[in-house]
Amino acid sequence: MMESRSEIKMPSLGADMENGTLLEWKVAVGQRVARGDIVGLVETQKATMEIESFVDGVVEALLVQPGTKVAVGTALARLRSGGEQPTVAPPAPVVAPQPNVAVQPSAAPPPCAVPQAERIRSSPAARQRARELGVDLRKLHGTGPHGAIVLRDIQAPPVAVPAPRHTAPPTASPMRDAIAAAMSRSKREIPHYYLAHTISLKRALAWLSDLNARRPIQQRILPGALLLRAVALALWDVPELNGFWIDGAYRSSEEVHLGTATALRTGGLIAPAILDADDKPLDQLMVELHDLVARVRAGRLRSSELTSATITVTSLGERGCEAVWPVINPPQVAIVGFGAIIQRPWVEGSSVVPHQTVVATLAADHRVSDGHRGSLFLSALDHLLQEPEKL
Amino acid sequence: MTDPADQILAMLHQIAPDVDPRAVDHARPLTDQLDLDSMDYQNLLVAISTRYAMPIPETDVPSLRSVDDLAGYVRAHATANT
Repeated sequence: MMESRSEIKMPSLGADMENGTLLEWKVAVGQRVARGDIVGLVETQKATMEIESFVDGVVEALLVQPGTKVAVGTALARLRSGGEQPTVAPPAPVVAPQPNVAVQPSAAPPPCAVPQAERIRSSPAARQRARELGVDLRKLHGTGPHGAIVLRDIQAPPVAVPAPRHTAPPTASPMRDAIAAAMSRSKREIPHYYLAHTISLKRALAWLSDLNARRPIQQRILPGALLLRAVALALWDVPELNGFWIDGAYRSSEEVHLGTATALRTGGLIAPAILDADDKPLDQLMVELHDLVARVRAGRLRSSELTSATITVTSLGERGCEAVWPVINPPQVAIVGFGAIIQRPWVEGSSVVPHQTVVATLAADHRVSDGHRGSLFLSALDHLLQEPEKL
Repeated sequence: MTDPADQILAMLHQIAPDVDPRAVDHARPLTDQLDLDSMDYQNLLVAISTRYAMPIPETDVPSLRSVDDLAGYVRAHATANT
């Protein structure tokens, strides 16, 4: 039987991500993996993410050691697919990365002999703080859940650890740097146009509260899920908002992968995608949104979620202000914004009555679409939200 | 029954690992002091409902805003105390 080999590479979370650090392998040489299996854990400027295999196969070699920072696109592991038998060859040793692919060692590289099973449970914020202070997590006692090291455990460097070589300026954070790079590029390169439309949510929210009243809290649907569902369906009417601008040309996407911008309390934001959102009924969308937010908080996103969004939705939430003028996340070509849901005077027939409303905004790329098409999208969104039972 | 407030703060810490439970003011609405979004808060209510085998009807949700509110609700409605 024909065998083929493929490599798992350091994925990019965006055109401006240059490198990432392999934290841990979840597989060993000789192990069989299926497409979608988690093979390792990588830390980037923006998040810790799980790396998935994109093929069925057998792990032939792990090319990079945990703790190594490598450039985007660097091969991390080699898989053999198509063969019937698992490998019988002696396992390939884990080798150090080639000098030309290693960008720079991490500030405090852990010894190479850390067994995989001894990975230290720690929160992303704790890891970041520890890096800033030059603290070795292995020397700390965690007070978080299951002994996890959390931010409060990293107050100051233990006496045995030398002071950091330099003090980072207070504004410097890798997350902020990544956002700055992506948004500067967006504003430099993408000719944005902006549209806004105020939508009554009276019917949608009445329908939702009626639905929720008959459900246990575990199955409660939040308005945010309803808005996401409506966005996914409205894109069918105006597909040119869903895709990428790459190498001077638009590439539309058949799938709707909705990036959902989620603020991190440690600063910054991240927009992991709900994959194939237009194929998912409202209940499933809500379940996946729950899961996604929980994993954002825990720093456990998957590479496919962080790399595949075809359009982004940003919602200011219930304590936000009334409208947002978002900036497109390249190489995407559009972003949809929702302000806070606010009660406003609304003309109904010949009288003015209070309605719950939301301002929906669209920022889109003029190289691909224009205000007329963008308007059709916001109108479609409005119509969908007036018939919530069809969502 | 052990103080439900401690349990609630532990659940909150699971949902928002960057929150220091000792810094939470029990009387103030959680979303005001902790920048929790609606999904985080929903996750907390689900955790509490599951932990205490206690349904939380939709109509009660708006009145449950602080640790004190939640602890009082648990004391009044909990059917499990494992």
